[in-house]
Amino acid sequence: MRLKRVSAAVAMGAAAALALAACAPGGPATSSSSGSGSAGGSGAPAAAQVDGTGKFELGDVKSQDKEIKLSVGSTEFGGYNGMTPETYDTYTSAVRGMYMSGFFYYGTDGKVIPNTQLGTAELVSESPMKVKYTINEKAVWSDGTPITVADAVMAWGTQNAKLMGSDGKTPVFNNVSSDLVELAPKGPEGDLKGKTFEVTYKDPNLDWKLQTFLDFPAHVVAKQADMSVEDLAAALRAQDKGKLAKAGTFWNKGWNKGPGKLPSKELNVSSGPFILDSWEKGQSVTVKANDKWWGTKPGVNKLTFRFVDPGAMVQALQNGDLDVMSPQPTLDTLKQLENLGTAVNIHRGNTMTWEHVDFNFRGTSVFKDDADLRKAFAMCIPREQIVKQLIQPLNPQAKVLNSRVSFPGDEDYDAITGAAYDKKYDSVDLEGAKKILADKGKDKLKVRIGYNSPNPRRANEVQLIKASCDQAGFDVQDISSADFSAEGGPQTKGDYDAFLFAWASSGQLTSDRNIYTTGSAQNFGKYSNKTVDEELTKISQTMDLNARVESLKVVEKQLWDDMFGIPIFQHPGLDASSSDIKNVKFNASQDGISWNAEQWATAK
Amino acid sequence: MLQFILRRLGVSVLVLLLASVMVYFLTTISGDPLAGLREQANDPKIATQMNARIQNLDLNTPWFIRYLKWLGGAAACVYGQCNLGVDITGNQVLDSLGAAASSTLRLVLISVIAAAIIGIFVGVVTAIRQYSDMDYLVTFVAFVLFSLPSFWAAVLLKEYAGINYNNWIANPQFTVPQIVVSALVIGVLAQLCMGGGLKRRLLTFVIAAAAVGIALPYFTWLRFWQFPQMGPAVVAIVCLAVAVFATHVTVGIKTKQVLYPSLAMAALVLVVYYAGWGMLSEPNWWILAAGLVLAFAVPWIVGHFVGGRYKTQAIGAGIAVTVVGGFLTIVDHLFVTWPSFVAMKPRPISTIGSNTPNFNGTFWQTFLDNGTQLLLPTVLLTVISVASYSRYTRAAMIDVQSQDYIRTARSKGLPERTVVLRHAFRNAMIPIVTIVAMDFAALIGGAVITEQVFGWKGMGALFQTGLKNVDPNPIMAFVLVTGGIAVLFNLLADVIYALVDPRIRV
Amino acid sequence: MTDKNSSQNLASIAEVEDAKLAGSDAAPLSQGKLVFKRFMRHKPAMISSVILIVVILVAITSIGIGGIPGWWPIDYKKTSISVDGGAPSAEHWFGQDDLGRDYFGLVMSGTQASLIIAFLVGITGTVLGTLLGALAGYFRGWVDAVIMRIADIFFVVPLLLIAAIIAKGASGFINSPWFLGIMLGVVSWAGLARLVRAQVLSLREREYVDAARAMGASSWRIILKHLIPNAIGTVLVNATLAIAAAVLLETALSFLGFGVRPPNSSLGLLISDYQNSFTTRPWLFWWPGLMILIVALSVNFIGDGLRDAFDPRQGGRIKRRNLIAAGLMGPSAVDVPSAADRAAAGAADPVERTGSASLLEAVEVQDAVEESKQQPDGDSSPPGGRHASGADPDTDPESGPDNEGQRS
Repeated sequence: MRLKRVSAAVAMGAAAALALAACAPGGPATSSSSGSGSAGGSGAPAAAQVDGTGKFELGDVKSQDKEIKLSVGSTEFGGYNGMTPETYDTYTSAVRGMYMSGFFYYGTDGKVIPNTQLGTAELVSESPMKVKYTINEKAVWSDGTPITVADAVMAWGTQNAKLMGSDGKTPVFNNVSSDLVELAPKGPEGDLKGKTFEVTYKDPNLDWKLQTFLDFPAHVVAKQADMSVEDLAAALRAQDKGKLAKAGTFWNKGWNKGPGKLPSKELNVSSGPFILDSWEKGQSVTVKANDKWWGTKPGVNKLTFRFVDPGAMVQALQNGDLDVMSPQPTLDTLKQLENLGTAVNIHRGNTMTWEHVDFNFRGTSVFKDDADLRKAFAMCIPREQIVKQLIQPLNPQAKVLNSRVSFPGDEDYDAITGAAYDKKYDSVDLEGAKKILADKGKDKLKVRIGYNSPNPRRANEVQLIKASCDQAGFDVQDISSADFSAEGGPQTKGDYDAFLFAWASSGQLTSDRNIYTTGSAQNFGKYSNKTVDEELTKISQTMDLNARVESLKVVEKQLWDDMFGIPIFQHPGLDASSSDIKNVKFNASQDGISWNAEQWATAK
Repeated sequence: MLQFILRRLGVSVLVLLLASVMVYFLTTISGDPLAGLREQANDPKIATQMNARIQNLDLNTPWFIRYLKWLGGAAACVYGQCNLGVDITGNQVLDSLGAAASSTLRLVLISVIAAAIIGIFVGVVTAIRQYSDMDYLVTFVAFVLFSLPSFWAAVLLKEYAGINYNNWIANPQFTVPQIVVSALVIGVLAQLCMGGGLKRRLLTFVIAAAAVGIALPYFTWLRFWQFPQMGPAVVAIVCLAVAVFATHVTVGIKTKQVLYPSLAMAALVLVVYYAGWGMLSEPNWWILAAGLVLAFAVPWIVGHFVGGRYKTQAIGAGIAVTVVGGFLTIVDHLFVTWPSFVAMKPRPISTIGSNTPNFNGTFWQTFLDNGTQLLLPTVLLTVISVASYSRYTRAAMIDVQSQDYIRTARSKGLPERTVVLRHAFRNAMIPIVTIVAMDFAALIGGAVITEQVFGWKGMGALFQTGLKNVDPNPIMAFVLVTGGIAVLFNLLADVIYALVDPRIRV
Repeated sequence: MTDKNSSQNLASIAEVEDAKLAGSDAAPLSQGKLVFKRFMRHKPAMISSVILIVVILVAITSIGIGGIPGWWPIDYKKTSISVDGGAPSAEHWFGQDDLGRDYFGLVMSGTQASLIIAFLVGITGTVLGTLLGALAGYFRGWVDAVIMRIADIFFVVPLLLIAAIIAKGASGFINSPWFLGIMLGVVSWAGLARLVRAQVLSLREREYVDAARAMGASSWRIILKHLIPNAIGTVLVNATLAIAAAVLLETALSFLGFGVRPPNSSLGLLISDYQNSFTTRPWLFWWPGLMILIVALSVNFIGDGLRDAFDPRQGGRIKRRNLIAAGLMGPSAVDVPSAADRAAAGAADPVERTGSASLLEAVEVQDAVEESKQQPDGDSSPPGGRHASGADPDTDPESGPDNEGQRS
């Protein structure tokens, strides 16, 4: 047992030494840790918003020398050029919005709002359709080069999927947005070095505000392609694939060198309030204030987009690892956030994604030729209950959606639903459904509902539908699978009765044509109706918004009468920010919470 | 011997090949790579994206042709022309693999080392005290740790070790109930560990509880938690203690050939502590690496010349002193840096990421930043591995202790410490080392979940996004790394066995 | 017996212990009864068995199974409006979930599914592993080579990953705990196969096998009647550990989104659905977590007890000094639950552990090892005895591979 005694002695000695060596408290003599950061007199004056749904009118802002960390998801930033098919997603677009200005942006309700900092755009003639753009005189790229018509030509000329390279297979400009040259063949007309241009469209186009006329810097591309800006613009206007080959190669690959690799300083050019600063692969990408930015200065000097799994976000926010976040809207996330009390602000609202059950009009569907059966099924779908149990806990304002062509936020929603929908399906009508089934002599009618799994919310929706519709005499079966709508899956084969899914709207006014007209790609159930086809074609050829609403009324009525499918709800959105961060506001569009990130300021 | 190695290698390559075909095939049929796009905004952009994806994934080619293409690229790695293909976004997988592997390997390596040290120590102690209360306690805890779903444990760890610690460190205080409860708990644990009769247990309990009860308020009064300090005195005393202890357990305190060099090393540590303070305040990795080399080289040389017939023991004891001393010196630098680090990062323990974005600090501040980011995932992986290592070690020790040669050693009259440390422990280590080596490859597989919960983008993310996108190339890269490591360690183990055991030879 | 000297001690102690167990019975106990008696004396294992049986009974009887109703009055599939935010109450013991469904019923149905998966993995993996291992060990040659190379694949690719890939692929057309259980069983046989093979390699050289062969017994008969029964200890211990591992593997798969999917339920699915609930609705987080813990823990302890029962040299409360003196510990003393549960828990993978011998040209090694490895007749202790060694602190090479194999 000597060993024990020795070790005990050693231990005692060590303890004594600890006490001796550190007999006085550490740290500075006086407790000078006042700690609380100065809020800073500048920034953070929350003022009126432009037209209610737009950005704030902040007046004169001085950027705080602070950093705000946000996360919109765990997906890696794609690269400077976020317009290639490989890099185009909402995550990359969120960052791209910081260093690329456009003539329009989405307001909080998803409406398109002019961005007057960059310039103005006005419709000068409807037939032929002409739009006049004026770029702000002060607008410059972050390297000092003025933003001019040449840049507009650049943005326009790259949006042409039909311009194939020498191999005849791959486009010269691998741009995810691919049809502007087709829509406006002459492109922006005006002095290349000037600030105004006009665009003439081939056909009337209600969605002209969504077209991009400022994207990437023409002078940078020209330099990399060893051309003058004038030659480049001329080649673009002529859509000369030979002369554009080099510019195309650069456009496709020159900016994006892979994760974690920012383009060199001369290529990393910004037209927005921020400029890309650093990018750590798999971790984060940081933008810093663009000191050549001519508009209202950003609230803080640095924004860091971290790539965080939504499941880890709340604890990260709680721990200060994130200041602003956009998690999956689940009940627990919301409750966790609510538990954090005044430390966080919760931002909620409806998004522009809407859930619906669509029927199948072909294949093995039981609903193929029978509108009454479809209606019977619609009668027993507990839409009210689904919204109440699954959606309202997340968004108390959520309501049952009654339109397939508009959202409750749209001014025309009431007009359209008023004209087209008789409130017949507002509450569950089990008796009505039973009666129809009895008349048809059907009992325990098997209905296969599919969706792409895993999706817990849809699983719950189907559970609720089953609970209700089984009482009416249906036998609802959940046939969800991971590749329900994959090539060769039940959906492409037409081997299902109803499909539960959602469309995400991008604010286009003419997009319904892709869903409801005969033979269009996204008309999954192969619905076909002449009236619907005609009216939707009309919309795509007019500039008259009232005519559009009238047509939509007819379309909606027809869709109810044929029971194309039944809309259920708008997806709820949930974002949260630390209460130190000012000016954070929910946005219904796909731009999400970071839509006005340049306006955020911190009180930390 | 060479033939033996080559044959093993050949078999391993064959197995890797089979595994890669299987994984590639299963991945390609596991789903629809375009699924995510099919149900999205009704937007012409989606069609363009689909085409790009079809091209990047080469979907119009049958899977076996794609596999052969991949194999060709991967085989070129042998002569340094690696091409592991592109992922769904058209980026080179090889580019992603480098960073992913290094971040995952860092995590797994530290966890394995920590788990091995703790696990082996616990295993040895429980083996020596088999069927004691402590043994049962450790067994129970080990099984509980095994049975924990790791993401479940991660949520708890973040809450208590992360967020609550950060809240606490802002104003570190202990309430009286906290102190009392900690003292009681530690007292109970201490008496369980020490065992013995009732009187002895009672004594242990009282001493341990009192020590905790005094230390907690004392350290708080010292403001140790915000301004940790150690100072040269502690370093000196601990080094001396290690020197004496190491000598004692190896050859006995009276053996001057070992005691003196050890004491000299302790003195040397102190000299370096003072002389190198300036340099170590702003070091770089080269300086630290050089220090590590010296920590082994100097005692080796000294022990070699001074140790006489005990030179092995002298070298061992010397290295123990220098390594502990070096470690303490680094810790002291970290202590000194801590207040400035907390000023930069007021919530030191982070719940996500492998480092703080845009953190610009001195060497030690960055070191602390990486360390605090690494802390939670490492603790999680370590805790899970400690359980198994401790069980393996315990079993191996018990096994070895029953060997004839141990009995012979005892009957020769060797002291217990020599028997345990030199005869039993060393032999028990052989299987353990193999297991630890094997575990390394396995842990990379297991890190998939840990990485996801802690927001690391390593090999796990590579695998998972690959699988979600039905994108075989990143998955193959993952298999290549884990398979390669498995084969490598396997081969090493084979060779070591073959060397030590003449019966396993060609 | 291997070590003549120590085995006498060993025999004496084991016999004394067994004699005590046998009590006053005049007739010596059979092997099976002895094992059972020894198992009964392993307190943690006994307590665990009781707990596990209770869990199984409650899970089955409360909500019923296969259409037979249970005693729990509330239909867990029925949605309703949650009372008091779904907190546990006298009516809903475990509270209610998002849809107001009774959480006790859900947890019980999840427990059923998880147990189904666990036992299916145990049974499938064990049957496959035992058969394939026995075939490889008995026939040697190319049969051995093919089987063991396939087994090696599972050594190179972590099990969690193979399972995830297959489960994802299968999710396209099937969603059933039964399928998931069999699928996981099919990919987790390799470790046991390696172990059984090692044991069969040594058993097949025994006199009684020679005798059977001389009497004209077919290969199948020898494998099924003579070899496998003698490896039953290894097999049983492994099966329990595989079961514990499967519970956690299923949990990990659910977390990754490749496990059981709604409308089916499992403990893994519940806990991964509600992993963020623990500060908000803790009952949704803790109940499934606790059930996983209880099942995994008790199965692990049962495995521990079984091992001690089959290998009396390391079980029971024999005085430590005696144990050491008698040299009772075999290498199979490694009493660690399968690495698979750690795989499931996010750390490792069972096949990874299957040992360094795995990629060896197996026959050669086995030939070498066999010479040193003999076991007492009728004692079905797991493989890997000790080779005689002198006072020289020799290494013990095969204890490595065998140890590891034991664990998988």
